[in-house]
Amino acid sequence: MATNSAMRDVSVPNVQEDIKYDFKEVPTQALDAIRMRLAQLTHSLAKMRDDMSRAELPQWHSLQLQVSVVVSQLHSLASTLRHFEETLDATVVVPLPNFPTTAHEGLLTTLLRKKNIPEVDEWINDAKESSGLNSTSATHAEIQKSIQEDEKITAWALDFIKAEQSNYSLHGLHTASELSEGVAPVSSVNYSVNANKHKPQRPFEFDNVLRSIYQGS
Amino acid sequence: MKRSAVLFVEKATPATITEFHDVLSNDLESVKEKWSFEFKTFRSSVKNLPVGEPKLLHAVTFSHRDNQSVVIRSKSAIVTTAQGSTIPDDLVLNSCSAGACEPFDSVLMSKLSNLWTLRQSIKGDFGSTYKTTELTIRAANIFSYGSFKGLVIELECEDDVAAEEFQQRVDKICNYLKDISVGDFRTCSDHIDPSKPHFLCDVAYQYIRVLEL
Amino acid sequence: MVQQLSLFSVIDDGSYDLCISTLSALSGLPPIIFSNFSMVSMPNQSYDIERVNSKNQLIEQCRIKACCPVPLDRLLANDVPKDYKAMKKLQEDDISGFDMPYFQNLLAKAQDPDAMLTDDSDESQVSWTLSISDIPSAGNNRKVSMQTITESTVASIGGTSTSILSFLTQLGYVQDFQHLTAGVKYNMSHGVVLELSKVWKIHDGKTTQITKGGYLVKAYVNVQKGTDIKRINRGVQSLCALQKELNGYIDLEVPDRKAMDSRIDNLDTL
Repeated sequence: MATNSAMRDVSVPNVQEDIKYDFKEVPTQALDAIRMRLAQLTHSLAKMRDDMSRAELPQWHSLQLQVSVVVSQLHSLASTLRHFEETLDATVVVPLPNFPTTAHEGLLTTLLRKKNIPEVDEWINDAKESSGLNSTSATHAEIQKSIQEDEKITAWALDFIKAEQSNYSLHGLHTASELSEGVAPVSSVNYSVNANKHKPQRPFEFDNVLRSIYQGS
Repeated sequence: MKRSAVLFVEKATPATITEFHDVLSNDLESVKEKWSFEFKTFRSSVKNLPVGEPKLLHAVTFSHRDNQSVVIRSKSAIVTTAQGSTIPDDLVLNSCSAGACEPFDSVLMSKLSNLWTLRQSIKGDFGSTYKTTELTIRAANIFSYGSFKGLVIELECEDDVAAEEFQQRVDKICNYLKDISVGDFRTCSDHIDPSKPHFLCDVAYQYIRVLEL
Repeated sequence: MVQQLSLFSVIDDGSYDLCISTLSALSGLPPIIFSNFSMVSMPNQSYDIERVNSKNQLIEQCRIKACCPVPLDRLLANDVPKDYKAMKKLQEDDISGFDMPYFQNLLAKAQDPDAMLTDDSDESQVSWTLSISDIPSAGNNRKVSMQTITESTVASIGGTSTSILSFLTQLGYVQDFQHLTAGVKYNMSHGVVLELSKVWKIHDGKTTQITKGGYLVKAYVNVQKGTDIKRINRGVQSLCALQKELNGYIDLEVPDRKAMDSRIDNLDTL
């Protein structure tokens, strides 16, 4: 199978086996880049699934590290897709005449499928429903606005969490099992307000107090 | 209760202290460390001091008692320490003291010299300490600005004895002095306030009584 | 003569808890609670006292501060735990457990011999610090306040009246004013002490807080010898380092030197 970026190539009927195909128009660069990213991503996801299915769970910090790797790989894939968006949009995929159509009909239909698989449709619908927008009646502008608002809230929440985190000095945090085993004192205050954000007031002038201490006035 | 008495032999010679040692020899248990003291007299500089108020203030510093000084005027006395290590902990912990301490007589000579003028300074340096079964006897030749002034003998009794018993022991020492033909001396074993004995203040008070004419 | 290098600031009552945990974290040590009582005396004004001594040196009349420790149970009710949180009970003019007779007795022991017999063992043990503070050194570019303090430790008092007041009277001094200080302090690194305190004036047996709404913050280093330039410079450095560290939170500053002048009627001679 090969991809072909121009409709005219498709229109040329050729049944001969030894015909030379012109692959010049195939966007190899874009496809290779995407393939690479996908390969990395599937590898990472597979590894994570593997780790999670083991009898003993991996350390939380190694899991967290893997998740952040996956996220950055996803991000890299998305940006690659966006980068080649135009090329890929203009590309049509057709099977070559020598593809064993009968033997691999199932594979061919999967590969050439243009509609989303039902699972993906479900995700999209789910997202649309939870967005609260009527996707049929909403205009493009409305959808954009809703997305922007959503992003705004996310950004605000992130900032808020960061600010709150810096307002407290967290120390001596313990796991539930440590607490139940009595390793950690349950009563102790595990986090206290952090001083960085709080500037004390000056209810009086120290010079006046000093004058009173030294001169009694 | 510790008791004390101070004797002053004005008509002594610098050699009297050796003779005194000799007559004590038979009773001596041991000869102890050297000691010294300083006796300062201050006079009030207040011009309109009410009539009848004592014009003098005294400071006595004892090397053999942690360099403590006693400052006395008119039966009111304080004991000041001179070593940083002897400042009571609670004064430092409660931020009363900045960790320094000067004997109060040096404060009198610096910060309060407009109020009190140093009139006289008597020193007894390198005195001898004798121990008998009854008393600790400290004797020193005293000098004022380099000139010999006489012999001072300080008697201390650490045993808990009655006043009469102590007086007998003091009399014994007085008799020794008479034995070496020193009959003319002043002695004092009074308390600054008989109802409230305070050993160090009493000793200082006795010094004042015998040294100040 | 001690050289006291110091910087001052103020925090409000509401910031106390936070300040305690911040300073505890900073110093790595828990706060030390302290309290003292000061009786400041001045030369008897009915006396004709010259400004010069017999050597014709100018000696200005200065106040003498007599300061002694105060047991916390004289300030706080017995059921209050005596830790740094106890300070929060002391925000008003009135001090809940304030024991005025105790303080009066400290100064001038009751003349009643019976009362004396019962208390005597206690109070003759009270030791006092007598101190005279000079006006802090002059100079516009002072990084810290530098004050010479002459002090003497009174280990005990003897005589007919075993009160510090009667001795000061003999010295030619009379009572001027009294105050009470209570607070917490930290021993920071390099000999720096940081104190947060509340101060009350005692007048006519009543207490008036002069640090209402907050705490006086004092950071200081005591250098035992005024001639020890090396230690003084090191002290200044340590204080400035602390000032920098706390900058933006507690801004430590150099006070007006005239506010720390304990001399009598000297303003004309400045």
